[in-house]
Amino acid sequence: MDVNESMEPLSADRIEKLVKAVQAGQVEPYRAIVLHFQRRLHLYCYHMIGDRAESEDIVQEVFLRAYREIGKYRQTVSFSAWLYKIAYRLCLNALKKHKGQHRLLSLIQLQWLTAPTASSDESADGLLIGLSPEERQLVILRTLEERSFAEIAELTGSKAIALRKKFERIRKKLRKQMREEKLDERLFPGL
Amino acid sequence: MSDYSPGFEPLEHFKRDAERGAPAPVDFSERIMQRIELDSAGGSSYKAYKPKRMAIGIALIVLTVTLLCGFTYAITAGVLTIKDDAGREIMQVQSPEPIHAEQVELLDRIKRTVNNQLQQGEAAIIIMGQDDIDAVKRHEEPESYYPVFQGFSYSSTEDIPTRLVGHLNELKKLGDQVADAKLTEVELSPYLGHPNVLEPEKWVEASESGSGYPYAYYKLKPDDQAYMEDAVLSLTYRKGDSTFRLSGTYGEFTSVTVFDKNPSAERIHEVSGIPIYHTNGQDAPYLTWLEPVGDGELMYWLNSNADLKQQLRFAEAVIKAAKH
Repeated sequence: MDVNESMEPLSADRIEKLVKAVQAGQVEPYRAIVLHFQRRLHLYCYHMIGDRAESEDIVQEVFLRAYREIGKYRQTVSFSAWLYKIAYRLCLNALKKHKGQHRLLSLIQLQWLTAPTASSDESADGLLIGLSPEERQLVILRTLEERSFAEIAELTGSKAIALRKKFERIRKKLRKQMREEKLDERLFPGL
Repeated sequence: MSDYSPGFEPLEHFKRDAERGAPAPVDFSERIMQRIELDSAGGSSYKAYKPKRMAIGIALIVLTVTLLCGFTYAITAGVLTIKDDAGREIMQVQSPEPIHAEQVELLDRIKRTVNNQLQQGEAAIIIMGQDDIDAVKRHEEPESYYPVFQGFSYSSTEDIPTRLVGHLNELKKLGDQVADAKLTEVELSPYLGHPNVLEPEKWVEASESGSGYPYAYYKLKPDDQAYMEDAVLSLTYRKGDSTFRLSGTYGEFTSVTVFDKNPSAERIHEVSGIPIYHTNGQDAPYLTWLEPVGDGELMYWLNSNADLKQQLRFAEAVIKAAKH
């Protein structure tokens, strides 16, 4: 899927040159970086947390944080991998934030708890609901962004072979989940 | 999933759904560049960055009061919002859903029943009501869930295992005496994860003996990972008849929600530049505050039977100790 269909894609070399210019103090080249990554990061964040409004907030935060910390970026990994690591971390925080509130209120027995306020899982038919953030990320990068396991390995810091195995396990898990859902539909129609 | 068949590929289905339901493209570039220019002109870092949805707070400017220490608060529709000196929302105080005393008693009874079945180091997640039981079996999020623990206890902060507590190590700095109160117990509780990812067949269903109310629980033996960043550390100190139970956890909380029957700016206190909210009108009043550590914050709760002045003195000692 071309997630940035309206954009002329930038080559990795071009991106690194833009990054160097920003590191040298220029501001405007950062706009091209934002334009290049914004759509794919938006979709990535949206599917990671399942909430439209919050995913937009996170994308903004990713770009602002990346700009603020761009001086720390070294070409030992691609800029794309570096940016996705920031995005993953912020998505993880968003997911943790809500469940953290839920959990902690319960821990100190303050009150009857109410439903979590976010993570509506409105995306893609709820298929990702039962997956951990790490598994979600793998499904998004592999299935939606159609990245190779080698690319995902660079983005996540895991080994490609381990990712391939994990992806197969997720695939089996989802198949099992769907079989059970189908069985439930047959046994308990209307539920 | 009406198009399911035995050879059906769920990820293909996911991809089709994702493409059909994708959010509309958003051009972030203009707002990002404006933000960068604005912050560069002001010579500030991005500490002042406020997420888009927080912009609604601007409409409340007439109700916003700047306090001497720099943080601000605004109150509207019964919701009190506390912001830091960079204008970033850090705490929201709102009224809770009405709670019936019978519900609280029922929950306490069920928690006690399940807790009594646990060995040290074991934990359980409790789900109450048939709707929530059915939800977790479908891998869906329940309306509510309640963790119980037989956590690890220690008699000194020196005994807290370093490798288990991550950023919570900061709490060790408090030592065994705070503001003349002596440590009596340290408890470490794990983070148990979300109930909807647990295996449906392992939930134990039961009904409460007095009321017949259905509930289910899932016993867990948390691994070391559960004690890392998401664990909760509780330290109990005593001075005379006064008990101070301080609970802390680490997270990257962009904002936290505190429940109080009557949110009021009068119960915001400031200690060393940190806003502390004192809940009131509830069964268990407490002080709560956030303290920046690393990339995130330590969130604290202080439950105590001492008067407010003593509690604030204790909180001040905690904040100062953590800064050293």
